[in-house]
Amino acid sequence: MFWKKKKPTLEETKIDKEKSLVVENLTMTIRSQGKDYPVLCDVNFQISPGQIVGLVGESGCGKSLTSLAVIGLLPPTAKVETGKVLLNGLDLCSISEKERSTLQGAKVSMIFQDPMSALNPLMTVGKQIAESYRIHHKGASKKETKDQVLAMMEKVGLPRVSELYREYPHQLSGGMKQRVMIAMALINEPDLIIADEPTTALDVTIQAQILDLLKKLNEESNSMILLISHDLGVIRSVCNQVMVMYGGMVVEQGEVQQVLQHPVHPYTKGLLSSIPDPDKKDQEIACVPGSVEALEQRKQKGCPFAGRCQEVVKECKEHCPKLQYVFDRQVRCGVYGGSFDEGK
Amino acid sequence: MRYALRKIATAAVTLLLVSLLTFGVFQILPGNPVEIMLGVDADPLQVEALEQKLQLDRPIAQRYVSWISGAVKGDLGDSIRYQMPVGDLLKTSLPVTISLALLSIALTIVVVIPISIYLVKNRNKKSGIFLSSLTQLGVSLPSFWVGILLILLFSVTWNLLPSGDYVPFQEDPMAWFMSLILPSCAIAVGTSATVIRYLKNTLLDEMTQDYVRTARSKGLTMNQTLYRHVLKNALLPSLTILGMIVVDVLGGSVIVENVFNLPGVGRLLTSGVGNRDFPLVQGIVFYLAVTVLIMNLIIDILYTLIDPRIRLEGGQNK
Repeated sequence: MFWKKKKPTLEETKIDKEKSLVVENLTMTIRSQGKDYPVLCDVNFQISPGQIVGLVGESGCGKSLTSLAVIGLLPPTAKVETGKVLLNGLDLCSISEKERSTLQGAKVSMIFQDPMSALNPLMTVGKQIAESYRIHHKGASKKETKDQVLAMMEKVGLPRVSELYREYPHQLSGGMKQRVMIAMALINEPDLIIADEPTTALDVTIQAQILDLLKKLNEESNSMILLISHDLGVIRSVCNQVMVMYGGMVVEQGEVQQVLQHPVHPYTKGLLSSIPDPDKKDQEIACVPGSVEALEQRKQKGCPFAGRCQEVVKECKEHCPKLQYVFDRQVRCGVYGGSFDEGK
Repeated sequence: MRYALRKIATAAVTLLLVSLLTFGVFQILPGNPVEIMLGVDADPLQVEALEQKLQLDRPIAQRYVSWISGAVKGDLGDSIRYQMPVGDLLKTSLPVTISLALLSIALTIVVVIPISIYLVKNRNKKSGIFLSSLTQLGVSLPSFWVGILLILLFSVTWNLLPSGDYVPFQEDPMAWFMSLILPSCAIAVGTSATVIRYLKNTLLDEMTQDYVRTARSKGLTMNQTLYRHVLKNALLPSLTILGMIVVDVLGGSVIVENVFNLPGVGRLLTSGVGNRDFPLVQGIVFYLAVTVLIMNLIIDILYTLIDPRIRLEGGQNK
């Protein structure tokens, strides 16, 4: 019963002080109509303090599931088959839900895509941020909590904080709501912040402000950020590392500069060329033909991208390539598996 | 202020229309009170005398006008059957109905929230599915049947509780409470089953909302999320249903009042209709209309208290 199992304190969770995130061989399935379908296959990456790692890909490629696995908010239909998610040395996949809730918000927190719906419409902004603080600071007095919340609100650049504290989400603009979300995610100074398309729902001018804010806060607190986006421009401007995912697999992974300037995998190339270029106004915008296949229709054999790849060879449809180092990054491609020169 | 004025104006018009309608219906209904009081083959002279006494010989429009002008002053006229002011009749039966309504609604509210949450948390377990089918049963059981069953068990077999016979609160609060337990339960079975089924579904809907995921990502457990975030959002639509039920019960549960022999508004209404007692029925309908209007106002106000996005006057939202 619930009164027997008390929520453990942070000290009881045996988490290291040293910040690190290591995801090892994460493989996951999702149950749909009685069958398990693979959705993540052998995902490996790590983030060190101060780093911002970007995760790119089309919808349905496993970005969000990866991030939900890291924060432990997977839907009940998803199941981690193998692999570990080690936050500061503690495997988040093997701990109980109570232990996980001790870490959520305190050590790892999340900023969601749509701030309009991610805030509770019936609770004042101040209370929602304060709740985040009080769950993890049990003994905090009302005044201490409020002071902390107001300070945090100022830190994320919200105006007239003492009035805003008492306002409801519908009274705020989209950008302000996202700042509130960020304040909520950062108030406990977590080691890892997951930002799931934090700027997608915002105006371009606000996007830049929010990204700058994230970058600044990251530098100040030396935290780790996992930034999910389908916008390569966003990734380029804030991230150090980038992972490109397709069909539940990482297809290219490396330093942002190298990967985005000299992409190797045909999918990465396709993504980059589909960014409209203002100098080539009259030309048709290039794109990756086709779309991500539905879970039920995915082939279990061969490279997941083979069906849409323009450089596909016969081999691709038979064998799934391994993620291999190609010079300075890892690539999962049979065609570009061996040599880097061809990639240029 | 403008909101209040508008509300009062609509209320006045509604009441006027309701009174016109009841008045009209009574002109169409076959049978008249004099015939019922004196029998079909009464002496025509006697009939005429009684009609004169009851002012039934005056034209319809005149009767209506005199009734409405009395009602405005708070005088609902005299009952034909009971030869008493309708206001006094209402005054004696209202406490019964209001007591019953308050108790059954309180019972409903106390039961609904924990059971709905239990159902949501255990929706995939056997216990949850079983309880859920019980609520389906609760919705379909007629309240008089539940009432008779309760009397059989608690009054006849176990002799624990009285089978009705209202005791006023002022005389003996304990006896008052005892006399109302069974009828309130008989009403609450149906009402709570209805609200539970509704609230459970809105809770399940709300659980898929983004703010739930946000709350979980802060480190709230599922339980905490349910009570602190989801419940309040889910209660909003259920409030409307509850308001309708309150009106229904305040209108006097005719059948339950008869089963438990309670002298409430419902019983008064049946006797009024049966005797073609126009002033009495008109008075009760007037009371019901006022109850509905007040309840709607209360629900409106509750809505604005719970949901900051709703404002009474509108136009203030950004």
